[in-house]
Amino acid sequence: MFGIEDFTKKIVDFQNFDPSQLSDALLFGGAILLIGMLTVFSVLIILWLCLTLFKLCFSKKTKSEKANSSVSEVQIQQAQSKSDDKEIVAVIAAAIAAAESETDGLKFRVVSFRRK
Amino acid sequence: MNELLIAIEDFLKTTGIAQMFSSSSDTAWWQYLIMYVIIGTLFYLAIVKKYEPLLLMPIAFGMLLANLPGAELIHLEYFFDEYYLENGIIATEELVNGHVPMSRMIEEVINNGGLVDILYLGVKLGVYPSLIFLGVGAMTDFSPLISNPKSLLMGAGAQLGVFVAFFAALFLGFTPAEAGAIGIIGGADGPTAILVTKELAPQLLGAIAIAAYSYMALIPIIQPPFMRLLTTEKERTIKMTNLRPVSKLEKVLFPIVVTFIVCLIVPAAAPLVGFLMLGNLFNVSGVADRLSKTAQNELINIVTICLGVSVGATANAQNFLKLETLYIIALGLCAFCVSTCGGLITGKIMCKLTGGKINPLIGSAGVSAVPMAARVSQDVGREYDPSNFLLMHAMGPNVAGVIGSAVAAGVFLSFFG
Repeated sequence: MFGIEDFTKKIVDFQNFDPSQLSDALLFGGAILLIGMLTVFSVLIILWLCLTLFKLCFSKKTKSEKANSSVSEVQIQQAQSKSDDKEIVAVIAAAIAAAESETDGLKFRVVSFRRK
Repeated sequence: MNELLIAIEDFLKTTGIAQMFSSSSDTAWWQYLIMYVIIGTLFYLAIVKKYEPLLLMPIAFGMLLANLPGAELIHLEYFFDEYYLENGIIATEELVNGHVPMSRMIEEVINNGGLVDILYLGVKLGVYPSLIFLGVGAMTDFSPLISNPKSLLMGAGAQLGVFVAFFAALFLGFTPAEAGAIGIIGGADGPTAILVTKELAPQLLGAIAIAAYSYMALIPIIQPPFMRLLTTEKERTIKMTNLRPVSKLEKVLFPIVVTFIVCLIVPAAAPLVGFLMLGNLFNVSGVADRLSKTAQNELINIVTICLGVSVGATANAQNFLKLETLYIIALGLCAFCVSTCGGLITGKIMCKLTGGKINPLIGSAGVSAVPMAARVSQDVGREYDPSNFLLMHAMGPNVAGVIGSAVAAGVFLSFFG
């Protein structure tokens, strides 16, 4: 009967692996496939747990940071919007002037403009 | 007059053309011709099709240099034990662990080697792959992964092809070490493939590096059919919720924690994971901008040139034109396809378990190849819903794939290194 000890020995002692033996190839290849995938999954699952801990430890801080940043973003946006309006009007006026110079006699009326 | 003719004759004999058609040459003229066709194809892919040009171009040029008879820019034999033993340069009792000491190889290269031999030392000593990873780490944003750590599982699932290709390579008669080097092509990570191959099967380096980089370049063609095959239309249109913001402290702790955990469990992965995370720490710490910029630009560019040329130069006609190369190319494709399927299946399972909150298309990005694989997920997702933006979500499994493939490499190096 093929025991667990023989199995382990065969895997560890890969120098004696005989690729011409189908059973050896199946056993050895299957074992490395299994061990390899288990190792990759184990390492990445441990990392997953650590990152979940990160989330638990830093979520409060993140929320307060988010609140702070959202307040400051609103302030910045409000401050910017006044100067932006003037810039947008200037840009639209310049575009209309350029279009008018190319198409004599055509009149434009800006109905609305919307920030995207 | 006679002396002049003799001088001209001697000169003509030294030309590459004469050596190519010489009967005493180890390589036949038609073998050179086949190599030139392959090199031309790689140049076409790199320059015209713009597939991974930064790597394929130096690799193709390295191949060209290695296949110019008489140029003698590289002497691959200097890097193999047989050369020293067969020529009596070293006695059997001087071997260390059954191999020629590295110091003896370096001495031989410095005394008698050509330009590319000296560049190749960086591959042989495992310097270039780690330095490339330093640059990759500095360029990579791990926030999507920190924000959504579940995506690590897709990065793990997408390593399936690595081990399946290993399994298949054993059946084709490769040794376990060679099979490991071939399997790692499925990790879709060039530096990792090079590091593992130079350690486990240096004689296959040219074929494996070329297969790995070519398939990475062809990801937009290879992956979409499997993505459509393994997902339903409803799954492809799933919109994922926004990722949570990640604090600077988390970003700084991440590379330190990953290095600590991965290198303690799989020490053989330290040269890759350690440098990847060091580069990332340079970037996220915000206090080493100069180091981060150097790693991201000058350093990685210089190393890419040296790596590409020296790896390409290992693919001379004698080494490359073998049945083994065809097997490697076929197994590499198999590894890529199975890895893609592994990531997609893990994505599908996670989709079911989360009640449809995860779009399984991002699973295919687990095959590393940053950021090409994530872009493919984005493109296929937008085909079915133009308002769906999967790119940032796909970056999670994508960078998890880099860590996953380094761990898989560590497994092979631990067993067969």
